[in-house]
Amino acid sequence: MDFDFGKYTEYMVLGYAAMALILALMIASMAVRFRVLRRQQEEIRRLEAEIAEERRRSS
Amino acid sequence: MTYSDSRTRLLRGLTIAAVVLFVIGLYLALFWVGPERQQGAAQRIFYVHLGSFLGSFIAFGAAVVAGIAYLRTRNPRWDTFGLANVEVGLGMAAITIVTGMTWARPIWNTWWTWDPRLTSVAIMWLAYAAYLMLRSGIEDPERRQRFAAVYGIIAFASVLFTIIIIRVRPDTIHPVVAGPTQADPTGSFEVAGRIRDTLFFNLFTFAVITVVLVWHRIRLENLIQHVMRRKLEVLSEL
Repeated sequence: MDFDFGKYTEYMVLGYAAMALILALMIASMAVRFRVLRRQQEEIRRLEAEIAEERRRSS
Repeated sequence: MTYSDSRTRLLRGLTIAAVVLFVIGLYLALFWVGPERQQGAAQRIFYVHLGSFLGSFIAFGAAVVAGIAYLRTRNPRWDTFGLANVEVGLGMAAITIVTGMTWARPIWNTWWTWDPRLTSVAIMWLAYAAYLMLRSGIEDPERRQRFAAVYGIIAFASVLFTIIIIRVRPDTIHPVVAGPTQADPTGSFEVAGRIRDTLFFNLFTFAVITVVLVWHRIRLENLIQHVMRRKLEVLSEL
């Protein structure tokens, strides 16, 4: 397929690539933060279980 | 941290809709609509440039609503809503600026010029970037929320300034698509046919994308707060 976008195609590509990159960065930054927080939640759950176990043993 | 199934389903549906709309919008802008006679392919940037500006306008406008609502109710949920909108609005404004620069290079023969519109949009972006810096600089949550609410309302002046500037300053070279200008006080909308249809579709698409991103960002902020509270609970038990 041969598409004729007209003159200045390289700037059009650059503009759309920049838009895609910024959108991707916004989404990726949220996804990474979600993942880190879920991991922290797991860690908190594990710590709570350990504390409860320790208390049960000491009592 | 749990949400109702219906809301989660709605968010999932909206997210899928945003992706589908985005793909259709790209197809319309890149393949369906023909090249503009004078600007060629560079004109196709216009669809995402205007769409992302609408997105930032919606987000920053919602931050004003959030600010007013917070000051009236002192409900921290409004603070979360405001923060989410400012963060997403900043991303959308960054798209507007960068796509504008890639359009300006072939059309104006420069990436950037201190034109009134370009200067005002740069000020707008910096004003909202300062919102995030302000938040990170205040430790007391109640004080941070109050300051952020007030700042979010005041910063909207930069958005209005950006919209109005090209209509009152005769020395701007930035094109005006709709509404009155110094040169044409009665105003006009010189976009028709496929260009108009593609433009409206992309405006709608970016509005939906903004709403979806803000909603996800709100959920992220809720999770941040939840994890922070749980950490404090565990620490107090030690």
